[in-house]
Order: sequence, then structure tokens, then C-alpha cells
Amino acid sequence: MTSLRWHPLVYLLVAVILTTLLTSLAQSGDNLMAIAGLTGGLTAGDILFTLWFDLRHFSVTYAPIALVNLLSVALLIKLVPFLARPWLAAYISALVLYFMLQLINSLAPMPTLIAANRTVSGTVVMLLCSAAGMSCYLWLLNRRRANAQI
Amino acid sequence: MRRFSVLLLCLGILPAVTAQPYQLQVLAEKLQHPWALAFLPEGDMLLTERGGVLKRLSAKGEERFSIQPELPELLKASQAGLQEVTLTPDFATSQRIILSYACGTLQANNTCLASAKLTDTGVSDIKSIFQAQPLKAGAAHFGGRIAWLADNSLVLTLGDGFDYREQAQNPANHLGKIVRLHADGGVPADNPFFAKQGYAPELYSLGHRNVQGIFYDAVSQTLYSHEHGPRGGDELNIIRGGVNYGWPVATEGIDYTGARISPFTRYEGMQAPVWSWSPSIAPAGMTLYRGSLFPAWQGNIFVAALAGKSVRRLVLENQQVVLEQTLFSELNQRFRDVRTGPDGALYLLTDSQDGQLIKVLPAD
Repeated sequence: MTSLRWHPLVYLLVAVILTTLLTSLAQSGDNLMAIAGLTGGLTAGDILFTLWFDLRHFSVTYAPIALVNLLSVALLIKLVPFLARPWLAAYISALVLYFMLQLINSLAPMPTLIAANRTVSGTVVMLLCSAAGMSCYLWLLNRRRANAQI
Repeated sequence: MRRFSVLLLCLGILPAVTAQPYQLQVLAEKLQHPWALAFLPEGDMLLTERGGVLKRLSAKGEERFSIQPELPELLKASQAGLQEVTLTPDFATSQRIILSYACGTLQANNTCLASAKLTDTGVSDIKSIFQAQPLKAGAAHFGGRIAWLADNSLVLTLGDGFDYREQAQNPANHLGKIVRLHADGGVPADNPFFAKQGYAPELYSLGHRNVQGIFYDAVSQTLYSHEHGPRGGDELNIIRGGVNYGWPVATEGIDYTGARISPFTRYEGMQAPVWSWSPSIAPAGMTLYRGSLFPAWQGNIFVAALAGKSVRRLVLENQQVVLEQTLFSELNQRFRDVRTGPDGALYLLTDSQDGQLIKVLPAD
């Protein structure tokens, strides 16, 4: 019974971790590409060092954002089951993140808090990471339901 | 021998770290985010507030006037507003001052310079003499400090606009640069990149983030500046024409989110800082003391710190920092600026809605 009650939260946690890791990699890539554009290239060591650094530091900042993002969409799906279609939910998740970033930037002292969010391409990648996290969450839920029916 | 060496070291450092007794006099209060201070020949002072106010104060702090100069396209938002005030080298005959400020709209702005004539009741004949390019969105990182060089040209510090940090390495524009101009806004023909293809002719140095402190020391003929790093990596630099100071390729700071901005803290062909602060102190104004009231502070750099809530005294030897001392932290105030007055006193500006102008004198 306990596992039945808590499994959506566990799946949500997995989705948050996935989204955070993907976004961290995207953020690293964004900054690294900018620096490579100025220096003419980077060594594999520099790239790996930055990826690892951001996974340990940027992820701590981003995880709460991903949690609020995915949790709000998960609750919305719970209230309106019609929305629990993979592509629709992924789209809503990306949309919610977009508005969250707008809100964060309007509240933060700097124009744009997250560097990747400075450009359209970086923002789109962040939204895709959010969509991927929500897709993961729905996939885990649906897989459990399918297994339960068998 | 080791003990003897330590003793010698202590004796050598002792005069520098011994507390210099001082007293503080609040000359003016209820200042709304005061930004800069300039001293007039007869003892009065000009003071700017970020909200667009220019005040003239007596040497004792009494208000002569408080006006809002009609600066072309003045932008007031967040970090944007009125910034520096300085007298032109020929002030005795021209009565002209120069003001730096953020200009434009929230969507399209940058740092501007205006020249104006100082009168008994305010300013007149305001002329726009420079606008940094390109115009960008957002109200952050405007730089805005001015220093006069020995040849009576001025250097104006600029910021990268926060969202445009990579542009600090683009020599074609003014973002993240220090520019050198004549007092009328003209471009000196001996600027380091003058007439060089692909370079803005006004550039003096590049690779800066947000330079809010600059001081030209005529004695040593050295131009010092400091700039805000991101999270960590605030820097003190010695500025030389044509030099690249690295931002954002070489930095000891990271993004506010914790993300690494660059893998490099040093990079070939880019000048490393003389001194840096991590965690950040948010340096916002500086002076190099050449006054007579504090002999122990002679030749020392003083840096006003916003986040650091103190003034940092830096002792230099051969243009290297050998000692840092934290001063005035007992006030628990954000410091926007520190200046040396013509009387040899230090003058401090605290940053808040209830900011103060404080005079620092020897205790006796």
C-alpha cells in the first residue's frame, strides 16, 4: 500500500534528477561553446572538468527549479487527467518552465539568472530538458499501470 | 633562524597593519544611494545620487543646492541612473563638469557622458558628449567611473551589460571596455586601437566585466582600476592601453547559479589581476591616498566594498599588493565610494536609501 501511495513521488524525483542533469549538461555546453568561440577551442580535459563542476554546483541551484516545474505539471495532470498525454504534458512542462524563468528573471537582481537562458537556443534546450523530464515521469507512471494490468 | 625570520617579517609588516586611529564625522545623511563625489576648488563638494540628483555641499556638508539635471535620456532603474561627477581639467576657467549616467530605455540603453556648466544654483548648457555602443537591454553593469590622465584625456569605465559578457572580447564595440576620450567627447588619435580595422577607436582596454573604480596616480603614473567579478573573482588591475584583461575567458569567479563561466583563471595573452577577491566584496569605488593627514596610509589604495560592507586598504610594493586591511566594518554599511579630499581626509559614501557622506580624520 505504501509503495502505491508514494510511487508517483519517487517517479517525480527521478524525473527531477534527470531534468536537472540534462539542464546542467546543457548549461555547461552553453558556457563552453561561448568560451570556445573566444579561444578557438577547448581541450577534452577542460570540457570534462567544467561538466563535472557544474554537475556538482549548478545542479544544486537548478534542482529546486526543476522540482517546482515538474511538480506543478504533475499536480495539474492529476487534476485534469485529459492532459496526461505524453506530448501535451511535455509541452505544458516546457511552457510552465518558460514562465517560471520569466518570473525568476523579473525577481532576480540581474537581467538573466541562468546563462543558458540568455539566448533563444539555450532557452529552447532548457525547455526540451523540462519536457524530457515530464516525459520520463509519464513513462514511468504508464509503465507501472501497464505492469499492474498484466 | 626561522624564529628570527618570522620576527623580522612581523617587524616589517607591523607599521603597515598597526591600526591608524581615526574619527568619523557624518557630513550628510538621508542621501538616496549616493554614487560619486567631486571636490570643488573653494572647498565645496558635488555629490551624485543614483536617482538622478546632483547636490552641491559645503565643506561641512550643508546643502547649497539639490537638482535633477535634465540629462538626455537618463534611465533610472535597478543599477541604472546618475553615476559619476568630475570636474574638467580646465574647470577654473570653463566651470564645466562631466557626468556619467545610464541612458536610453530598459530595452535599449548604455552608458552616456554629458558635459555641463556649473552655476551657483545648478548646471546649465548640458551637452551629450558620448554614448557607449551598442544599445542593449537590461539595467545592469554600466561601469560609469571616470579618471583623468596626465594629458587631460579621460578614461571612462564601462560594463558588459551582464547578459552580453562575451562582447567584452569584441573589440568593435564598447561593452566591457575602458574608453579614452577628450573632455569634449572627441577621440584621441593616440588611442591604442585608433584607426585599426575592426576596433572601436575609443577603446583603451578590453576584457572587463563591470568596472566601478578607477584612479590615476600621477606620482607613479599608474592607472588602477577594480571590477566586479561574478560570484568571486573581483579584481584589482593596473590598466595599460591596448591590454586585454580577460573577461570572460579568464576569471576566478563563477556564475551566480554555480555554473562555471570558463575553465580558465588565467589565459595567455590576457592580463591577470594584481589582486582578486573571492568571495566577492563588490568593489564600487577607489582612491589612492596621497594626502597629508594619514602618513601611514601614504600610497595605499582604498576600495569601497558594497557586499563586503567595509573599505579595503591595500598596501602596495612595486605595484604588488602585500597587505590588505579591512576598515570601517564597524559601521556595517555598504560602501559605494571612497575619495581623498584636498584636505587630506578620506571621504566615504554609504549605499542605501539613507546613505551618508562620512569624513575620516585622524583621531587626534
